[in-house]
Amino acid sequence: MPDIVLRSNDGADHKISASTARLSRTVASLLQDLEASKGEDAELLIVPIPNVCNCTLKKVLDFCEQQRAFDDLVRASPAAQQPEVTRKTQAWRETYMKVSTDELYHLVMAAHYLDVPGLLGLCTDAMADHIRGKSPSQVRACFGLKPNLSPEEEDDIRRSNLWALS
Amino acid sequence: MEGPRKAQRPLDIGLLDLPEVLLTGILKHLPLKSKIQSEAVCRGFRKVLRKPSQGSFLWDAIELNDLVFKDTDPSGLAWWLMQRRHGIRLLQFTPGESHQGSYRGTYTGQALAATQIQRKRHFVLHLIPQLAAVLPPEAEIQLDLRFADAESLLGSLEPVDAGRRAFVEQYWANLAGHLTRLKLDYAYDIDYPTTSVLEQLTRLQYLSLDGFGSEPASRASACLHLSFPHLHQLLISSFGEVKLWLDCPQLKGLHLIGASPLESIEGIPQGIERVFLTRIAEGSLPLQKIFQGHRLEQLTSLCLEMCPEAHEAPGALQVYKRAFGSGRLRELETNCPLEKLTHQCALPNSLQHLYLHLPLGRGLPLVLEQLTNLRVLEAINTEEGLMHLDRPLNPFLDMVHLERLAFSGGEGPKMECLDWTPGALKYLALAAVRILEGDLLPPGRKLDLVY
Repeated sequence: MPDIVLRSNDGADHKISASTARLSRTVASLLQDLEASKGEDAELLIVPIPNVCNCTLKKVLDFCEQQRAFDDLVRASPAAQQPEVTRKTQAWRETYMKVSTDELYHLVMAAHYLDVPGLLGLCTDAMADHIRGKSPSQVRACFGLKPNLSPEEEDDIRRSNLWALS
Repeated sequence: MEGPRKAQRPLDIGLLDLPEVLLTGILKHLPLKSKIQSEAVCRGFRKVLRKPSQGSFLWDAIELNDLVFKDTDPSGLAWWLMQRRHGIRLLQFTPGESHQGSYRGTYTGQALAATQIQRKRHFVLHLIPQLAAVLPPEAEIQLDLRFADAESLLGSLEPVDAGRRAFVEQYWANLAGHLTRLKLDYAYDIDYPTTSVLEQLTRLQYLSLDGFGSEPASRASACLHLSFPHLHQLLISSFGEVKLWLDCPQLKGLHLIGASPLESIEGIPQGIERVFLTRIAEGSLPLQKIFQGHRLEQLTSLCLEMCPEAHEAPGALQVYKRAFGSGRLRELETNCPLEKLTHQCALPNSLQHLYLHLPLGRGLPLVLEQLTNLRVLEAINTEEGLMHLDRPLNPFLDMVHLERLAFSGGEGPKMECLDWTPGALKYLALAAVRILEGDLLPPGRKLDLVY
């Protein structure tokens, strides 16, 4: 089994296990290509990740390591223990997602590019938290968006969703 | 290994700079009303929310909870849902506590809450059947019905009340092709004529019936004949006398909680994998009657927290013997006296999770040290007085898979505070130090010691 290294766009290397690496579908696919071109005897596989900087890649890999550990725990736990495992997972994720809006944007883009389904869901949910329970004008203020709907469009939205907007 | 040359980040980006698929993924997480209101944020949001190709992804699973019904005209909601019917794959009706109809607070608050109940009730009784009639065949409906609604749709259907019976039968017939999960809170006696209308629900996979009886003496009885070809999970809790006939060949999990007593049960399928009989009161069937003729070959989880007589009757231990013999049992909880149990059949080494109700005044039985595959061992004390350990816990600490070793005081006010003998405290402290110093194999193994 060769060593696997992910190289960020600013040249930082991260050595990781094969099982962690394969939580990213993009990396799994790149590894497959590398293995095919370098042969089975290769001792080191370096996977360049051109769209992700070092600090974001490190954060993504933290998630992958934890996800692998939780997956193992869930497989090994019986029904009675599942709520406790879920609680621990949620607590870890809450701490993990305490990031600035700017970091969150980079993380969601990285999760999308690297195709890590669990992380993508977590990031999009965190972004949704900034919208949940807010009025349209509050959402605009939160994300710096400009109101650009025409009166006709606004009227159409009102008419077709009357039950929810009253 | 790490050695960044220079931190490089892309230029600042905003929400609308994200790929459309990501914005869709973000909006997908919003509750129904927030999602709809988001259309009015800006053109970018509106475009994503109205794009036909995103339709099935954004609106495929719809949860109708308390917030949806707040200040909502249910007919308007139903009309809106009908317009999107082709994309709906899952419709969940999950009312909150306000559905129960018990309110405190100001008169205005009570009046508003009552209005909300009426709206939900109208939706359940009159609009869900209409929606069921127009949803695509593969769409699923999941219903969580609380007291008054459950009563309206079950109730004791007297022959003289032909109109109501016809309504109820037609109601469930409309839902039959879609309903996969049903949870009913029902505080009255429930019997075969009451539930026979449910037999039309051939897609049902999960059924939960909760009698909500807090005290055994005040619980309603349940005399049930349940016949569902695709039912996987059955949960019956907080009823008094329980009589159960099952014709559910696909059933994998059976949970019976708080039956007082469990008078009869027939038809547990041979393929059952998980059986939880918890807080079963005196006067219940003995174990060998419950599992009569059952090979228990597929069983992976077994919880038998029964009245003493269920374990004492002749042949009761044969049930454990069969369950242990399959080699598949991974989880066991029992209050059967351990000495009695292990006298006839050894605990299987396949066990990974073991929850034992036992008197801890004499320490942990030696036989537990042989279960080398354990991941979780919980000992729940069943007697008053000091708990004791007569030897070090090292054999448990050396179990390479063990992740949790816990001692608890069981239920009841006198058991809230645990008391250990000084000798036991010494062994507990030595074990805690070994864990703290990481003196466990394999290196880095985590073990929770709870006492």
